[in-house]
Parts: sequence; C-alpha cells; structure tokens
Amino acid sequence: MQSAPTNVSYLFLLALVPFVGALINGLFGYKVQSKHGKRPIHWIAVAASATTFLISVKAFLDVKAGGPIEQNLWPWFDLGEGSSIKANIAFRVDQLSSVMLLIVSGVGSLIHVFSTGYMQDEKPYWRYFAWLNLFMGMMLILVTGDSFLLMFVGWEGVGLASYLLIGYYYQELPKAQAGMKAFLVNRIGDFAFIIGMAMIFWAAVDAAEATNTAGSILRFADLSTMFQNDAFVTAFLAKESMGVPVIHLGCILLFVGAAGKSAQIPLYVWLPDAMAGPTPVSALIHAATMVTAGVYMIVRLSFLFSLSTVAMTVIACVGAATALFAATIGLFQTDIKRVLAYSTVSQLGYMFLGVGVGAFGAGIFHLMTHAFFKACLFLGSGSIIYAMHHRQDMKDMGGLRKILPVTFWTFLISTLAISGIPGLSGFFSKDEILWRAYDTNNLLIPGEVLWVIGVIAAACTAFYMFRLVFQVFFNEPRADEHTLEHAHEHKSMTIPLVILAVLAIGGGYLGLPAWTGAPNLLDDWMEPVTEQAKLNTTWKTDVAHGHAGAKKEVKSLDAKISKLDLATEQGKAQSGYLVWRKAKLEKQITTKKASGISAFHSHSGEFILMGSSVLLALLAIFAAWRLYGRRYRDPENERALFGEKLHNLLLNKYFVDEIYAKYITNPALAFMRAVAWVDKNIVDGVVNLSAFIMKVCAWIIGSLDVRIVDGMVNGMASGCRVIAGRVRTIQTGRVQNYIMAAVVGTTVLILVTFIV
Amino acid sequence: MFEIGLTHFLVLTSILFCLGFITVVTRKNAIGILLGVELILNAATINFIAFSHYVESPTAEGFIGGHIFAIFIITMAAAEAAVSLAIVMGVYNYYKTIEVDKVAVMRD
Amino acid sequence: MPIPISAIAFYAIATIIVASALIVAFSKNIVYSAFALLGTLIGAAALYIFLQSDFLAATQVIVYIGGIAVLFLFAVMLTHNIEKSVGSNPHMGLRTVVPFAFLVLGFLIYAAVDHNWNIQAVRNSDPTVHKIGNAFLNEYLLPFEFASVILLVVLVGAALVARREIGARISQREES
Repeated sequence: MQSAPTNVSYLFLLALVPFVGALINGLFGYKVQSKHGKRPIHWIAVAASATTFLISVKAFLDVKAGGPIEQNLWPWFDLGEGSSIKANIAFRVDQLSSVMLLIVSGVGSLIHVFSTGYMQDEKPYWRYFAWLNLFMGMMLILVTGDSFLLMFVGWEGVGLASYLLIGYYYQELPKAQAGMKAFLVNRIGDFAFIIGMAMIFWAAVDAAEATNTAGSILRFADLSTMFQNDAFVTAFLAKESMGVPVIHLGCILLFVGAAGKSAQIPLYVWLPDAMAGPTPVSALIHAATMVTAGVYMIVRLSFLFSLSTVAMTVIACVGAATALFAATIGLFQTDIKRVLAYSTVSQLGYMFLGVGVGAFGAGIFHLMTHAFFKACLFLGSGSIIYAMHHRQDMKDMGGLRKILPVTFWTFLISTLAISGIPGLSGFFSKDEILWRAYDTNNLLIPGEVLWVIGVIAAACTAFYMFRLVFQVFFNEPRADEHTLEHAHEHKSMTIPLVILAVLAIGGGYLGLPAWTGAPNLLDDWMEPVTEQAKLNTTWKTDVAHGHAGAKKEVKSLDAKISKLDLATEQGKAQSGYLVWRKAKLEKQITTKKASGISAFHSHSGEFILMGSSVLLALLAIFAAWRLYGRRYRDPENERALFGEKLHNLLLNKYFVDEIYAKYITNPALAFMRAVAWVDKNIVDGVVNLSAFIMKVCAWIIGSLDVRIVDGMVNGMASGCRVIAGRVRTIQTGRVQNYIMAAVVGTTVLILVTFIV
Repeated sequence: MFEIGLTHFLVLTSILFCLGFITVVTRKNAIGILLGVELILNAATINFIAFSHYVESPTAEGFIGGHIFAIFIITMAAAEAAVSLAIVMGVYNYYKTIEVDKVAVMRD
Repeated sequence: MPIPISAIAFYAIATIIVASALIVAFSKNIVYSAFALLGTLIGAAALYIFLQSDFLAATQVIVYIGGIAVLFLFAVMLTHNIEKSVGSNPHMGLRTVVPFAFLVLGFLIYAAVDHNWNIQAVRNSDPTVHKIGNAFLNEYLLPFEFASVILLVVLVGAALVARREIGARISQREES
C-alpha cells in the first residue's frame, strides 16, 4: 500500500521553468540572437533544463524519503457532489514518475548541451531551443499529471513539440512532410486513445456508482485505490459493450494510442521519416523520451491492464512482432539515422513485450537503459554527421575510428549495450524481459513463442548494429579530402557522449537479475506502483516453486467467497473479481510442469535462457565482423550476397509505406477530393446561388423603390403643382368672381339642405 | 292671381334681384356693375316695404321698422354711390378706361 | 269676374320695372343702362305708393332718382368716349351666369310661393310720415344719428378722393 501523499509546493516548477524558457526564446529569441548572438539563447535553454533536472532530483529524494508527493494547483472541473468525475490541475510524483523525471530531465539536459554544439551553424537557433524547452515542459506534464486529463494534455503537447521539431527544416518539403506524417499518425493513435479512455471512464463511473465508492475516476491514485476494492473490480469487469467486456476494448484502444506514440505496428511509419529533423531531436524525442510515453502510460495503468488477459496478449504479441519486424528492416539500411530509428522501434517492441507479459518493472528498466544507450548512439551519430558536414549515408563514411575517437569509443560501448553483452546495462534489461516472456503463464499464448521471437530479434539487433559500427568506423575512409580535413569532434558533443556511455554501462546495475542474488533495486523501488498488477499476473516459476503460495491464496479466496451469498445481486457483485482470480490461480496450480526446461524451481533455468541469447548475440557479432569488418560492402554487394529479393524487400521496409499510401492514404485523399468537389460546387454553388438571388431581389426592390415609391412621391409633388396651378386661378382678384362664388356657394348649400 | 298678395311682390323682387346679380357678375364697365348693385338694393327695399305692409305686426298701428329700414337703405345707397363713383373717376383719370378686366393689375 | 284695378296697376308697374331691369342687365350701351335704371327706380316708387308707403315713395323719387341716378348719369358722361357708346358696356361670362341666376331665381320663387306667410287680414293704410318721424326720434334715434355720421364721413371722403384727381387733371391740362 502506498503511504499517504505529502503535499509539496515546487512541482509546478517542473512544467513552468521549461515553458518560461520556451516563451523567452520563442518570443524574444530572434531579436536577442540578432543582437547578442547565440550565447544567451542556449544559456537560457540549458539553464531551464538543468533546473528541471535538479528539481527532479529533489523530487526523487522526497519520494524516497516519504512516499509520493503531490501538489494541487487549481480545480479544473467537478461534476458535482457524489459524482466520481472530478479533475484538478495537480501534479503527483510517485516512484514511477520520479524515475521518468530523472530520465527525461537528465537525458534531456545532456541533449540540450549537445545541441549547443551541433546546431551552432543553424540560423534559427532560437526556434530550436524554444521548441526543445516546450517539449521538455510537455513531457514533464505527461509524467507528473495526476489525472488522465492532464496526462493527455502532456500527451498531445509532446506530439505537437515533436511535429515542430521534426519539421525544423520546414523549408524543404520532404522534411516538412515528415513532420506532418508524424503528427497525423500520432493523431490516429490519439483518436483510439480517447475512445479507450472514454470506455474506461464509462465503465468506471458505472462501477463507482454501483459500489458507492468515493473518489475521482480521473485521478490515477484514486482509480488504483478503487481497483483494490473487489466489488468495484467485479462491477467494472461486468460492463460490456456490444457483447465484449469494456475492459478488453478499452485497454486495447489505449494500447493503440500508445502504439501511435511509441511507434509500434501498425503506427510506426512516422519514426523513420522523423529522422528528417535535427539529430539531437531524434536523440531526445525518438529515443529517450516521447516514444516511451506509451510504455509509461501502460505501467501507470498496470492495475487496469493486468485485469485483461486479452489486452495483455495483444500488447505482448504486437511488441514482439514489432521487435522482430523492425530489426529485420534495419539489416540493410544505408542511412545511419535510419538504422538507429528502426533499432528504436525494435527496442520499443521489447518494452511492450515486457509490459505485455506482466513484467512492468522490467519494461521500465529497459526504458531507462534504452534511453541511455540509444541517446548515446544518436548523439554519436550526430557527432559523425556534424563532422562529415551533415552527410548521413554510410557510403561516405569509414575509417572514422582515428578521426573521432571519443565518438568511436562511446558508440562502441552503447552498441555493446544494445546487443545485450553481459556487463552492460542492455544485457540486464533485455534479458529480464526475455526471461519474463518465457516465464509468463498469464497470456493466451505460450510465452515460449514470444521468447523465441525476442531472441531472434536480439540477434538481428546485434548484427545490424555492428554492421553499422564496422561500416562507419573501420577500414579506409571513403569521404573526400575536404571533408576529412575539417572533420573533428566538438567538446559540447563529446562530454554528453561520455556521460551517457558511463550510464549505459552502470545503469544496468539497478536491476540485477534474481540469480545473482543481489536485490533488484529498480523492481523494489517500483513495487508500490506495480504490486496491484502483480496480484493478477501469474508466472510459470510460481508453478514450479510449489503451489504453496498459490494454494494458500486460493484458500483465502475461497473463504472470502463463501462469506458472500452468491444468490443475491450484491453477493454476485462482490464475488465476481474474486472468482476470476481464483480461477486464474487454479489454472496455475493445475498447470503441469512447463514444457521444455524442467529446472524451473531454481534459477538455473533463467541462467540457461540467458546464456543462449547471449551466445546467439555473439554469433551475430562474429558474422558481422566476418562480413563487414575487413571491407566495406555497398548495397550492390549486399544484394549479390544475400539475394536480390530479400535485400530489396528489407531495404524498402517491406513496402509498408507504399501499401499504406495505396490502400489508405490515396482512398482518403480521393474521398477528400470528392468532398471538396461537393463543397466547392454544391455548397458553394448554393451559397452563390442564394447570393445571386439576393442580388436579383435587391435589384427588383431597388427598381421598385426608384420607380414606384419615388414615382409616387414625385407624382404627388407634380400633382400638387398641377392642382395648385389650377386652384390658384380661383383667386382672380375680381370682386365679381367672388360675388359669383358666394352666391354659388349659398345655392349649393340650400340645394344640399333641401334635397339631401 | 289677380288678388295681389305678398307672393307677387316676392316674385317680383326675386326677378329684380337676379337681374341685378347678373348685371354685377357679367359687366365689364365699372359703372355697369354699380348699376347692378343699385338694382339689388332696390329689390331689397321693395321687399322690406312689402313685408311691412302685408305681414302681421305686433301693434295695431303696424310695424314701422320696415319703413325705417328702407329709409336707411336709401341713405346708404346714396353714400355708397357717391364714394364708388369718386373712385371710378379716379380710376378713369389714371387708366383712361374703366373696364375692369383692363384695370386688373393686381391679378397678375 | 272683372280684374281688379289693383292687379292691372301692379302688373303694369311690374312690367315697367322688369323691362327696365332687363335693359340695365343686357344692354350694350352704358347710357341706355343708366337711363333704364331711372325707369326701374320710378317703377319702384310707384310700387311704394301701391303699398301705401307715401313718405318712402317721395323719398325714393327725391333721393334715389333725383340724387343717385343723376349722379350715375354724371359719372357715365364723364367716363366714356362719346364715339364708342355702343360697345361701352360689354358682358363677360353671360353663358355661365344666366342659367345659374335662373337657378337662384327658381329657389327664391319656390321659397316665396311655398311659405305660409303670416298675412294680416286688415292692412294699415294710415299715412306713415308721422309714424316714421316718431320712430326716428324715439326707438331708432341711434341709427339715425349714426347714419348722419356716416353721411358726413362719406361727404368728406368723396371730396378727398375726388379732389386729388381734379388737381391732377388740371395739372395734366396745363402740361398739354
């Protein structure tokens, strides 16, 4: 159980400081840069990110000391008394968030420093740092938001910042299009995310009303507390939509949103194109932070996901498939950044595989180590690209070992880490995931399948990463004289590289596997967040460890269930979840010893699996050495070696983009054109027609006005004149006429009186 | 018809009045108009006297007001004729004509 | 039954009056019209005698005929061109006025004939001079005095109006 959260007053700075930096650089950057040069710009930006790192450290220490901390700023909305829909603008840092904070702000600060060197020749220097700070602020909101809504604000915000940064060189059309592609694919994911959220809210509100639980379903902390209530969980599980339980639908949709953000199949297509942005951006956003938002979200909602075996299976399968798929594409790419991009997609697949099988702690662990070595790899490639005057194709490189030594050594360390060589961080995290995948007893498919896929992907990863290293750093330099003369490393770039390389080595020791006997620091740290999910996940090793634990659990569940009267509505309501758990455990108990390796009751099983994956990785490295270590092979050579068809398929990324374009984008564009035609001709036609009718009416009324109305007025005037002219003649001035008139008048009067 | 009564006198004076009216309205000569006025006045006088003679009076002696009025009419007619003829003389001296349509300066 | 002499007398006088009035109304000669007025006045005086108003008949003859008619004749003489005496009294607009006058005549005759006049049976035939004199100095004293004032004013005014013209005429004569 978590201890009660303590209130602090500095969490808002995490979001505010980067925003202030972004605002200053955004609004005044142009002027400042033109007057004082680039120095003030990067001082502000780096200061902002360094400050957030310091605050994150403080937050981490506070959480370590006293449990989760939170800060409630303002109420956002509240649907009234007794309603479970309430949200505030509030930040909450628990164990999971603090880890994320350190990663984001730490790696982010290093990348800010790196950027000062890499981007120094760029003219819109200020814009880059403004967006970079904006991104930091949004990401921090994402990981510290205490409710779905605030997290979603950050979610969308990082999407926006990503678009702005990818499209940094927007003057070139393909690069601007890459930014748009990222945003659009992200949006598709967000659409699914919103629907998933809505479904979860729907079920949660109904369950909260049915069981009379207090608290807001929007707040993560409150929701997880609600999920500790068995009756609540039962009510939640019972909710169905179109015959399918909402929990499955909701979790799968949430995962689709995560797939959009974290580049899983089928929404990964934006990530390779996102390499059009500056390299530090790729390092920060597409290696260390934004793409990990999906994993963060799933771990944050682990108590929810663990209840849906279907969703977990989907996550694990998609993760594994992505890992293998992307790894195969990376085998023959020629652009450094592309290789690294597909590598990122592949490693993200591993993370999702980890959380899919129920190893939430392992997923976060891999997230952390990946952040270190992938950032180091990207920054290293940035250093190479900068030295090679912004050339990215491997055919122009080679033999850079001597020219860029620091880059070479840090790159090599990180490559070893990603390949899973023992002693380095990647080994520990990747292996943990693979072991867990094998061990899982939780899914609808056997975990062994996932393990096999993961191992093959690991082998591919090792192969293509070392291919990259050999092609870039070894053999004779293939670049021209002029470039080689000017190639050098920059101090602002090498320092972050070194720091990251150190972390790539040392970061692994936070999560040492069980067989070493040392405590898994990260897992223990994350315990309060993941313990609820752990209740719902089962492992094969538990089976083998004797069913003592499981049997005891079943007995206590039985006792709880028997206390309830299953005949009544209330009894059914409260017992559903318990019955579900009991069934799971019973399945576990009845599972015979897992197929294959029989030594599950000791740690040797884990050891054997680990060894086999390491062996495979080493074989792959050896193969890469044999093929690429001595000589450079260009794509023609590779085609001859590996076969035309295979090479073509992989180099063109399985033609996925083309398939999407043909079957999705083009129909959508055709539809758009049709709608636009309708709008232009029919809708606008109607509008124009009405305008035309209006004109005609106006003309009619106008002429009516002129002819009839004015005619009447003029007619009256002229009539008056005419009549007056005639009547005027009465006044003759002659008495005779007047006398006549008088007598006539009298006669008329008499006539009228007598006759009428 | 042969027994002369008030009606006969009234008819006579009516005829006289109408003729005087025609003279006033149609004549161009100024003196002609004045002659018409005289006719009308005479008709009225005869009327007065006729009424005084024929109609019942409050006293046995008879109502003398009719005669008195007739005397006044004659007096006023004389006065009016004097003045108007003086004016006509003046007009004749200036315009050398006394036809009213030739003297209608103000009309235009 | 024999026609009473009063009727013959009346009709004869009426004829004279109407004929003279017609000449006054329709003659184209101003002199004829002026003299015809004379005839009308004499006829009127005769009627007064017929109606037993002796004083008034005398007054009519002396004042009207002897004064006013003579005055008219003087004016006619002074204001018209001897050569052109025939066309000296033209008409205008006869055609509209005569029918209308007939209409008016019709009304008046209708009113006269139709009404039931309060005729007294016995008519007074006393001489009226005495009564008129009495009335002038008793009931009708104010009108009497007023009339004398008016006559004075008229006298002065006519003299004033006529005097200027005569003065102008003399000066004109002296110029030419």
